[in-house]
Amino acid sequence: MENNLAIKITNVSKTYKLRSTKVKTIRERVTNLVAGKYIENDKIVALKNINLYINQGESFGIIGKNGSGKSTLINIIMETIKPDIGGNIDVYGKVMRLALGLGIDANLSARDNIYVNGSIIGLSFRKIGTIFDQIIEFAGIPDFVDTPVKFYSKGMKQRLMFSIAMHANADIFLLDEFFGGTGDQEFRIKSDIAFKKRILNGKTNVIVSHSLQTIRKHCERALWIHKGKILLIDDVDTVIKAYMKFIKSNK
Amino acid sequence: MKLLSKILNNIPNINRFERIWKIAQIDFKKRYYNDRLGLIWALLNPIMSVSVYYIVFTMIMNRVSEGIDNYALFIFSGLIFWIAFVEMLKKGMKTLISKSYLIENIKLNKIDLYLSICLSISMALIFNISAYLIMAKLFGVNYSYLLLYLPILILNIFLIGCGTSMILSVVLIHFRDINHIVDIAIKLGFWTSGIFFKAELILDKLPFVYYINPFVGIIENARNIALYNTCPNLVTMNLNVLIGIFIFIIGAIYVERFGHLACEKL
Repeated sequence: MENNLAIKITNVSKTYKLRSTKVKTIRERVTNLVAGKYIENDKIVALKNINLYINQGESFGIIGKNGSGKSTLINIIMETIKPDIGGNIDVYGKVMRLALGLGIDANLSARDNIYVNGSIIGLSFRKIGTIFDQIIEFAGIPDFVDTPVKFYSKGMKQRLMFSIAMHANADIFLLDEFFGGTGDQEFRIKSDIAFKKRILNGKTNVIVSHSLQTIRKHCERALWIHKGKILLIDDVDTVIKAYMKFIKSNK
Repeated sequence: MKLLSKILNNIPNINRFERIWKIAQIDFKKRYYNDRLGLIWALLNPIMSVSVYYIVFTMIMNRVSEGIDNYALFIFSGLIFWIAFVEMLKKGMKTLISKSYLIENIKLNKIDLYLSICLSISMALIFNISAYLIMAKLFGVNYSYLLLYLPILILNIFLIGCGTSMILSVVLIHFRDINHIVDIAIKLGFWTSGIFFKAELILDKLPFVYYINPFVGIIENARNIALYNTCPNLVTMNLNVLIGIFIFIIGAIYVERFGHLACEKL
């Protein structure tokens, strides 16, 4: 059992401290400092006591309303954000987050972006060299390899990002409202096939989406999160049914 | 078993060196290749500053430059080291912001980013030093095998610059105001490091500066090596390297422990 886990989250909570909005002027700040008055920060509880495991090779969906803590959860798995004391996260494998347009520096060329991204994910330069042409060809930008990405069209940028992700060979993908099928018709078909072959099959996926259809289509299990608390973890259909019911009753 | 794998993971492997080098290279390129004159700016900048200071201190405030031969080279040798440090500080401080596109999307060791940035600035420093050496030759200055000490000085600047920028970038998350304090501190360092005058001038009056400000020693040693062709003061050299290592370790610990806050607050 232990060996098959990709992500294990136990007892994770996250509280954001906000800078207090009560103190506005510099003078107030200084006088407070001199008087030794401690200003309590505003707090926001983003996640409450999350327990979760995700198996290797599983596609796992996360649904919930805006502001329910989905992104925070993704950030916690990425370890860009640390949970409150007492929480524990184990992630087995290399993680890459896929969200359109992120991970790319617009001032760099496609070549540099590919090398930086690939290297951080753990590929050696030799390995990147061997797949470099494939990446460029897949993205369909062979004439613009050394052009800074900021001069690319939006579609080209997306194709590049997509292509890097396809070839980067991470173990766990966090898909944050990111899905195959970007760009023109030709690329859409190509990318859909690659997406299914390389990411959805055999890799661990955590899919965050507002589109219940995509979640239903691709995931086996899903999680419904509401106001930082897990309301339900079960197979997809059950979770989506419960969620739909909740939305309708709220109306 | 877990401990063992953790240790193995932290041994810097080839992949990591490659990565640091690549990001440094890209950073270097980004800084200079977008401008028309490119890399020449790395050199032009200190040369222009030197000419300004030269005019001021030889013509207007000429007591400062009294008794110093080759005053232009004297300023130049000090200034390039100081400029390198200031650039590391200013660019390194903003690492967590400027490289957030990587930090947010792929799991990586943040310290690598600082190392890369400081490495790219060290490359510019090396470029400047070679330009200095060529000019010094034209001015008739002799130098010898003592130049082999120069890499130690560069390493020293690297350690101090990287360490302070790591510390400050974390502090910056909590106190945006630190920017203003850093500006003042840079000015203070600029005037107390003996860039324009012999270090003895300030050491007579404020001897403790010698121990607080490692740049006094670094710049003095740089001149000993590359301008006067004498053996550097090995005591201060070792002391400064130790200070550098100390600052670097503190910075690394700081970033390890608090670096994650950056993504929450920025």
